[in-house]
Amino acid sequence: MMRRIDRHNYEEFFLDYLEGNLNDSEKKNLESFLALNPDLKEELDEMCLLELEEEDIIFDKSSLKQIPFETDFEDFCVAKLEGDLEQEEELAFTKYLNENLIGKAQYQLFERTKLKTDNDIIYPDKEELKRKERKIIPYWMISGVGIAASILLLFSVWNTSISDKNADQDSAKKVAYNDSVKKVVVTPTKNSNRLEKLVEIKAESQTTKQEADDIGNQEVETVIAKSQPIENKTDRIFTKQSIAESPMDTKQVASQKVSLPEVIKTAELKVLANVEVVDQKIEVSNQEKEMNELPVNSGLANLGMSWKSSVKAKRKSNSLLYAVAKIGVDKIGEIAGKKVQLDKQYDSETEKTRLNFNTKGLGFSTSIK
Amino acid sequence: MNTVEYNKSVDKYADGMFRFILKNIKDEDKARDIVQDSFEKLWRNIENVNYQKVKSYLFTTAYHTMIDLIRKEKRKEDFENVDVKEYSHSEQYSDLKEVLNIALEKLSDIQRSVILLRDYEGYSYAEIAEITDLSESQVKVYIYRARKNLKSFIGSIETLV
Repeated sequence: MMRRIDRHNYEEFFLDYLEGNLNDSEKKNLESFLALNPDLKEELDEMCLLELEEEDIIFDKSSLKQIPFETDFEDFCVAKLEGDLEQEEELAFTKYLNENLIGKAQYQLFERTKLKTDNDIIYPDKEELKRKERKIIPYWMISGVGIAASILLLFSVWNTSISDKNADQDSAKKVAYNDSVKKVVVTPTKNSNRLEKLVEIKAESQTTKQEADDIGNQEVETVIAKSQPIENKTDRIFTKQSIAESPMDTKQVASQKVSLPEVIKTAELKVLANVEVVDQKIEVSNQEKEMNELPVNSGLANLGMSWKSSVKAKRKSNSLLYAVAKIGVDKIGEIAGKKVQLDKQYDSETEKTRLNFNTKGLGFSTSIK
Repeated sequence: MNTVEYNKSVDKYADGMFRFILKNIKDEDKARDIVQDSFEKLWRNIENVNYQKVKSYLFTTAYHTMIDLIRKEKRKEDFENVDVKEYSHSEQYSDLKEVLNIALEKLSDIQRSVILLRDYEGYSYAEIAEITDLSESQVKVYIYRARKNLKSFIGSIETLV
């Protein structure tokens, strides 16, 4: 809606006219209004004369720009030193320093805080810090050494356990062996009459020579292994048999007297020559000692049966252990692709059984008995 | 990282590390031990350390070992709490290097460490932050404070002279 101009609102139109805010139709209305009111036209002309001209005023802005430098001078010094200033800041601060001699001197002090590397200080023993090149060990070498070490460990453990057992057994054997030898030597003098009787009775009862030897051996073994109680048993046997066959020829007795020591000597030789037999006796004697501690009233045959079976069991367990070890060693040899040997050997000179282990680059022998 | 690169690292960084530690703790034997320990740690972790980052690894290790040692010995003295006039003695300083060495001793441990890493090794704020387990802004603050303290010490000495 277009505004109407009259003598009450003409000032508003005049101001809009001077500001250039009237449109064309409003300007035409204003001109027709001024034509009808010439006194107001003079007022409008006066208003046009009041327009102000722009003055050229100069303000020192640089002083304002210096405010941050003056306020945080040290920070700007450090920032310039550390290269933290923007390009424009850098230029302005440099200009500031150039215009301010005191400030420049202060900045030069900051520049002197920059530490310089002291090349006189060097680490004295760098060579000792260095390391040699690591060498790659081939797998086959590791596996070979590993297998050898495993076997060595196996035998160490095995041998230790065996030697521990044998240590006790060996000492017992030595005692038993000495005892047995003494007994065999002493027997003919001490028990000669009884043994003579035994052999005599055997001869008269038409037993074979082999049987007589066996009995003789048994007697000897009995004497070796057993002490007085067993001797008493033989006494009882002799007594019964002597009652049954009392008539005796003195010549026969004399001939048997000659043969008896031979039998004993043969037994003694067997004992001394064959370690295996001695071992058996030793085993038995140990066991019999244990058995004798108990109030056993069994016969000779029963005693013989018991120690024989025990020895077999022990030897069997040793053989089984050897067999397992041998199978293990053979398998390891197969896996490693190497020749690995494990042998058990009996040395008659030392009367000991030795285990020999051989493979490429490694071989050892150890006594197990 | 391989053995050759490890040995190169010894040649390149052992001196700098030794210098850095020695300037901090002023004990040659301990500085040597710290450098040696750092290289032993590097050797143990040689498979996990990238050769491009070995310098940072070495300085970080050495720095932390040194801090542990300092903490143990409790030799803490903060420059900020020290009156510079206290050091205004009649002794004549032969050169700026000597003055700076004395001023350096008066700095706090952390200020001394960051300023040495900055000036001796030319590390950036970020790298120093990584070595010292600080933020970049903290490193910047410590460096600024250290510079002001050093300048203050030098200025006071010059004024006296």
